[in-house]
Amino acid sequence: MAPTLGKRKRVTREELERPSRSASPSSGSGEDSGAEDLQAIFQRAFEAKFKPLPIEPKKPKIEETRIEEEDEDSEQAEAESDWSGISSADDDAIEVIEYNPTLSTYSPSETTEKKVFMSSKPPTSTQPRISTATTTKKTADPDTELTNLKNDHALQKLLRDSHLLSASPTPTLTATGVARHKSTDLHLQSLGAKGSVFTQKKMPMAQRKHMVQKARLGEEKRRALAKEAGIVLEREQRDGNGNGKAEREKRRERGVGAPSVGRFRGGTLMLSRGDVRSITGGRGRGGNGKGKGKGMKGKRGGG
Amino acid sequence: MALDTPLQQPLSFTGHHHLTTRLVLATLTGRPIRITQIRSTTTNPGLTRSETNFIRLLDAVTNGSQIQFSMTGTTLVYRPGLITGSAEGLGASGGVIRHEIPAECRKRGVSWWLLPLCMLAPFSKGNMNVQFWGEGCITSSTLAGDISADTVRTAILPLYKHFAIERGIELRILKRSAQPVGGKGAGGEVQLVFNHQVRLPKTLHLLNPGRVKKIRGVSYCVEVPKSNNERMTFAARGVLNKFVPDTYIFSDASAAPLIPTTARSHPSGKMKAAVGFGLSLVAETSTGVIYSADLSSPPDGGVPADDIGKQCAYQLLEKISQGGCVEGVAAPTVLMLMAMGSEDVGRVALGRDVLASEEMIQLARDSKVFGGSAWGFREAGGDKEDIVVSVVGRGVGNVGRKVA
Repeated sequence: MAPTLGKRKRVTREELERPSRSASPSSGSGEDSGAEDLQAIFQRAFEAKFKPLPIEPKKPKIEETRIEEEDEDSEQAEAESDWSGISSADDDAIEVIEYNPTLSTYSPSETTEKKVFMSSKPPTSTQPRISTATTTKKTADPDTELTNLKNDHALQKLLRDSHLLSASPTPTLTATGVARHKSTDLHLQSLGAKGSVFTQKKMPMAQRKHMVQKARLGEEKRRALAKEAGIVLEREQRDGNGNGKAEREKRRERGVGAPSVGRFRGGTLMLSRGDVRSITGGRGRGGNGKGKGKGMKGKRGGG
Repeated sequence: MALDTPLQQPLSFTGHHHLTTRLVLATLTGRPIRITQIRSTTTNPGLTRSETNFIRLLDAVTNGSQIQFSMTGTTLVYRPGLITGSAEGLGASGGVIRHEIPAECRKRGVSWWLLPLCMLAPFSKGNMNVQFWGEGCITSSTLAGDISADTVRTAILPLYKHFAIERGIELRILKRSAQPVGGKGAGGEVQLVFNHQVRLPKTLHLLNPGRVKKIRGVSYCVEVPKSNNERMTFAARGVLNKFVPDTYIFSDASAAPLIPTTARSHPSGKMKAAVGFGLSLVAETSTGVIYSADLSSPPDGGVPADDIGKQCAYQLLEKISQGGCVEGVAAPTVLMLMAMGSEDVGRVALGRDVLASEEMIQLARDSKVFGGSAWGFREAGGDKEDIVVSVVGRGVGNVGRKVA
């Protein structure tokens, strides 16, 4: 229909060899002899260019004859023995052929093969690579994983307890005695306990106040010293126990409809000096006090 | 595109044969076509439901296409637009076009839509992501000769790699469905993701078929016992293992999709209809050439799974015996892509039986009508029976990907 497109047909090796093969005197008609002729031609060409090849003895034929001889020997031996062989009655026995299809000879790569073939992507022709490195890693894994986890755990604990350990007169790596109890308590708090076990719940109010005050003063002193020395400390914790410096008083609960300022008792609203000041906004607080009291309420406790 | 250029005179064709290939050629080359006398002499004239549904799909993935039918549906004028893929704002939501195949289209398998769509996808402007669903969506192979969605994935999509189109291609079978019985619906669901768009496909030179080195396959069953899969696999391996020991057939069992129904026998309002099993086999040679076979149980049943497995294996052997580097199912795809390639001579060796089919000869004629060059044929030479087909590409390629 159309002129042949594409490149010229390449001259193949077979076509090159054909005329020479026909020209050569072919002794045999079989393919084997043809191959031998071909080899002879190659050999002649090679020997013309280089040195003559050593003549190889033909081993396979010798082996064959030897095998035959052995067979003959064995046959002769059989003939000499007077054993008559199995009787012909056995020929009638039913021959049982067990057909055992080995269907499920699954190779380890079969799962990966399945993943490649059954995924939504068109399967690739390349064989999935089986990485032996990953398998060896997996066998070593459980042991090292466990020890790693243990070490990690111990390190975390050490970091957590470091201040307790260093505070003791004889620093050790494991917390003992009171330090151990304290460390357990800290751990519990970090896990979400409501408060420390060591805080005393019931005690005289004055004592409590003093304790809080003492703690606060101690903290302030520490901070002041650190500031003088130029040490940067952790950020101030502003919790509800009065430890923080700029701690704000929480808003008291008031009844519904009750006035949002002062104390209402016995049918009268009692306003303290501070309340009045917060309303009128006097004493140097100037424009800030012009609003209602709400914005100032937090400052009552502090001032 | 269609507006600023003067209207081209449409190419005329007659008859309903090769409708999808003609529509795909028209879309790829940008030439309008006019098809007349579509089943004009039959009692049921005009386009079938699946054909109109395919035109609907073309409309969804292109922008600016114009489609006109005559009153009786026997004449169709199609002016193609730009292939935009699943671009946002043009029918796609969330980057996915959901294309419904209604129950009336259940004569054809979903591969009938998939194969032309795959041909269009590399030449799209944007990514192609289409999800087929509906009561006419059959994922298994059908009696009409359509291959299963598995075969599309394992035997057709890998061919695009020869044209350097290989990234981001997926075919997800979301819900399997066999051929439904009687007037019931199928309800399968398939998603095609084709995210590798090229300017021009690479020139193909595929002359050495090589030797078959491995056979893979998928045996699937829908709402029937999984033992059917095992029986199909066993029978197929019984035939194939003698030739290729590297044979694995993977099994996939799934439930049939629920179809809404108004029948009184199903008070829940839902029923399962598309029930059956099938086998898809793929043989790959040492040079990457692929042969495939596909068979599924008939909708009325009555064929044991062993027979399906055995027949499918024989079908694969027959395909291999036909020779060539491309099998009959895949040949239109490969030759279409070659024709759309750069202006260079691509060559592919085809088996005589593959090339001598009506479909291939008509494709050669049609591509000439659409302005392509004629194909050249010559004997493969040597001891091979194959015929080498030489195709010169048009050099047009992807209009949407042209650098200005």
